[in-house]
Formats: sequence, C-alpha cells, structure tokens
Amino acid sequence: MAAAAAEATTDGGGKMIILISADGKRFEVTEAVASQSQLISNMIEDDCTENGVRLPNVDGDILTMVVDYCNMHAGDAAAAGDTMKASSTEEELKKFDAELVQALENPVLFKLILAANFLNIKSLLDMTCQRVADMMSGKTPEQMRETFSIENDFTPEEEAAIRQENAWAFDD
Amino acid sequence: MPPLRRDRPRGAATARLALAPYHKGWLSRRRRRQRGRTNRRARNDDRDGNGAFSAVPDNVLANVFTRFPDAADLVRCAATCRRWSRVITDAAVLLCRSLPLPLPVLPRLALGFFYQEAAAGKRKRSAAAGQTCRFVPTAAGARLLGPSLSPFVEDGEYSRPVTSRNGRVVLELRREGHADGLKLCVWNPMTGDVATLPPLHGDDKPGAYACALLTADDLDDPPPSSPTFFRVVVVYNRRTYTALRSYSSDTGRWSAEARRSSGPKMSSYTLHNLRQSVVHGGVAYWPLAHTAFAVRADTPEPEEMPMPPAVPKAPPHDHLLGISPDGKLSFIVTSRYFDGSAGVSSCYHLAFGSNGGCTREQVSVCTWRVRLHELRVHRSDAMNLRWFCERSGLLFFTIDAKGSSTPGAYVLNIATKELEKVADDIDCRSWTNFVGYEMDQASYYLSSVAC
Repeated sequence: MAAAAAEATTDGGGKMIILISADGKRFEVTEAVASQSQLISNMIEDDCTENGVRLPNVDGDILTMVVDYCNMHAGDAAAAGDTMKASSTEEELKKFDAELVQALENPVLFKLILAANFLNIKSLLDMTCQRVADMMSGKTPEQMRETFSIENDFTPEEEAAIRQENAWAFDD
Repeated sequence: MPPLRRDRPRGAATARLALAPYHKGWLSRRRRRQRGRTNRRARNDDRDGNGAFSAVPDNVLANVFTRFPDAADLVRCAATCRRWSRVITDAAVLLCRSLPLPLPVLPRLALGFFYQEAAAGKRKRSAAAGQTCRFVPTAAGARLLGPSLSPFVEDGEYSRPVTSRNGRVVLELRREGHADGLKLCVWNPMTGDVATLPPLHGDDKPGAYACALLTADDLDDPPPSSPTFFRVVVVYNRRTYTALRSYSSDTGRWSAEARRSSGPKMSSYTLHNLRQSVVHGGVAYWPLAHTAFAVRADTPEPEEMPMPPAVPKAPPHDHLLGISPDGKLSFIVTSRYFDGSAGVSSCYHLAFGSNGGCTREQVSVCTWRVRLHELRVHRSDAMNLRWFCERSGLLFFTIDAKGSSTPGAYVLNIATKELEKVADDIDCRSWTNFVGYEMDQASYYLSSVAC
C-alpha cells in the first residue's frame, strides 16, 4: 500500500489518488479529477486518502465511467497533464455527456445514479437524473411501471379516484 | 368514570383546538380522513417491486421529479405507485417551484369563497362586532374537504376576509371593543399556517384601505428567499395624500410609507370600494373607472406605476380585472341580453409593457364571452361580479333577489362555460368582503394524489 501511494505521487505536479472499486479494480487519478466528488474532496481535506480510497458500493465498470466522466470534466486541464484534456472544448464535453447518458441501459443508468449520489458528484447526478426524467416525461403510469418494472400497489378504487380527480393530466 | 386528564400541555392544546377547530389546516383534516380509510391496508410503500428504483433513495427520486417540463408528468408519476406518490407529496412545495411557467389552469384549485353579512344599518357597531366570516365551498371543494369549514379565529377575535391569492388569505383580526390598530394576518387554510403581521397602531393606523397579496410565485427576479414568502401591500389615505406601504415576510417589517405619485388623493369612498387586485410581473392592479390603479410591489418600498390616460371604452364601474391567457390586463364585465338572460365577458384595453407599466391598446379585444341562458336578470345592478380565480379560471358572482328570478351565488368555469350554483336564494346583496379562495399548487398535489 505504502509503495502504491508513493508511486502515485506524480509526474504532472498534482498529487495522485487511488480509487478502489468494490471488485478490487484500482484507478489512479489526480486530486483535481477526484475532487469533483464532494465525498473524496472531503477525504482529501481530512488527509485520509493515503492508502487509496475504497468504494465498496461502486463496481469497477461503473467506476470506469465515473472516472472517464471526471477526467473529461476536470476543470483544471493542465494539472492532469493528459493529452486529450487540452483540446476538450465545451462542445466536445456536451457531446461526450450526451453519448455517455444516451447509451445507458436501465440497470447501468441506475447504478451510475447511485454512484453519483454516493460520491456526491453534483453535475453527474444532475445529468443522470435529467436522463431519467426525460425517460419518464410523457409516459402514462402503465408505461412507467413497465419501463422501470414497478409494481402497482394502488387498489383499483384508489387508482380510479386519482385519475378522476386529475383527469386533465391523463387525457391524451 | 374515566380519570380526569391532568396533562396540562395536552389539555391546553385541546382547548385551543376547540376554539379553532382547523388550526392544523383543512388539508390535514382531509389527509386524516384518507388515512383512516386506508388504515388497515399494508402501508409499506417502499416496495416498488424489484424495480429499477428500489435502491434509489427518496431524495434522488425527488431530484428526478424536479426536472419535468410539464405538471401533468408529476401527476402521472404520483399515480404510478405509492412510494412515488409519497415522495411527490413530501416534496410538493419544492416540486411546484420547479415546474416551468405558466402553470396549467386547474379548475379544482378553487374551493369556494369567504364572505361576511353586512352590518345591519342601525346597530352598526355592535352588529359589526358580532358578524362572523363564513366559508362557502363549491361542490368540488365540499367533495375534497367536507361541507363545513371554518375560517381562522383567535380567542376573542373575529376576522374579516380582505384578499387572497395562491392559497393564502389575508384576514383582518379585530377584538371586540378594541378599535386601536390594524391587525392583519396571512393564513393558509390548507396547511393551517398563520403569520400575524405587526399591527399598525396610532398614527400609522389606516382608515379605509385596500390590500394586495403577493406570493413567492409572483416574484421571480430576484427569486424570493423562501417558498412561503409573501408580501402584503396596503393603500390608505392620509390627511392630504394617499399612501402606500408593504410588509415583507423576509424582513418581518412594514416598509416606510410611500406617497401615491401620479395622481391626487383618492377619495376614501373609492379606496374603500376598490375590488379584487390582480398581480402581474410584481405589480398589483386594482380596477378603477376606465382604468386601473397600479402599484409596483417587488421593490422594498411600494411605488405607484403610471397608467395610460383613461380608456374611454373601458367599463366605468362594477368590473373585475383579470389577466388574459396572452398576458393582457383585461376587464371582466356583466351584460344583459334583450331576452333578460345574463352574460359575462372579458375584453382587454391595456397591454403590459416591458417594465411593468401598461400601454393602451388601439382596439379593445374581446377575449371571451359567455351567455348564461338559464339566468334571468331584469335589473342591471342585480348581478354582481365578486371574484375571479385566475389559476382555476373560475368566476364567482352573485345575483340579488331584487331584480332577478334566479338569485343565488354562482361560479362559472370560463373555459367550459359550466355554471354551478354555490349558494341558493339568499340575500346576497348584503354580503360584503367576498373573497374567493383557490389553494396553492402544492396543496393541490397533496390533496389529489396523496394516499
């Protein structure tokens, strides 16, 4: 561990941090990239990232996406010393975000939401929540239950009452 | 015999509840009723199956719900499962603030109206003290909340309805035998929240006054600090001028007094008879003969807005103001047809300018007209427009028995032209301080989707 931490202090000047996913995958990122997560930013402040940050609720493949996202969005591009950073303009970022979110299937999208919520990365959480809201918008309750496999736990009378009271929202 | 309760706090609370039976709000009463009905059923709403959302915490779900482009999405989500319904009702206030404007016109927002019987001529003072403020629900209001709802009262006081907007009512509280000071409170009947304003005493006490209420939805720039924000504007007369003053919930104080700037002192009669105010772009408008009286209220101190010179074709009196769907200040007037049937129509003569001021339209445009074949009016003053609920598109009016064979209190849905008789065959002419009531959007979601 100590060796890993030592090794992690880098070339580009910024301190490196190791993130460890639930299934043991390790990701090396700069502090600037990692501190987009409020959770990790707080840990950095408290100086408890020495031995790598274990993230027991986040799988490796999800963490890969999160790290990609954070790399793309690291405001301080120069600090990362990465080749693609310098050229990432606002337009490219938008394209990247759109592709990331559009490509997601249900289970992965929700895992990403949970990760964004756990790591407290506001922009990623906003983006994924917006994607879910877009998926919900315009759907009937039946379609929503189908899309998100939700059980209808209203009684038929309750459901009828809701529909009657709010008929304006159901006529389509 | 059961033992006497000695638990003082509880006893005191019960005593207060007995005096003000709806201290906790009309909505809590409805929710208790609903809860009673579903009591026996399993109320574990956190099993939306093995669905995608099972691991998503409530606050994240609420975050998703704040992103809808349309209020109907929110309602359909609330109808999807119990958990979603609960999350939506828990976050109703926040969610309503997040919905893009304009909000849909929902007839069910209007629940009824408050009024008082006018004081009997001779024993004016004592009769005035004894008169109570009543609430009459519409059919939909009664279905939602039950038939008998009481206005807010405090021990030994009685209340006079002054104005209402977006779920809240301004009441004037008076104590019998104590005539010093003007004491106003802002009450949300649905939640039971009451904010009592510091009384205006002594030299500050207005005589006749007019009042307008602004809520958080009326101020967008800068946005208000809290969703429960409100501002109360009062207009009253001093010896030589007409004065304006406002109270803000965020400062908790009355502003300094401002003078009416662009006109002479208003007569106290005019002031006393100013009718319902409408609010648009942070400006409150009251109907005046051939024009409107406008007060900018989104500034720390209220300020009168100049209006274009009187519009000759605008109605001279007895009209209400409304906001037309395309955002014009419109006049709502009654009409009488040759066969004795009654009608109401709305036309606009004034358009809002960019800075909140108004400009005069070259041509007056009729925005809607409804002929009421079933109503018979043979005196033009028998029909009295009382209150326009702009968020529900409902118009309250009364028809007096003197001058009509169809007296009563009515409510008209402007969009569907449906007419409902709310109160029957009463001497409506003696009703004063008629204030229509529509609940706020958050209460609407709470009342219609909660399970």
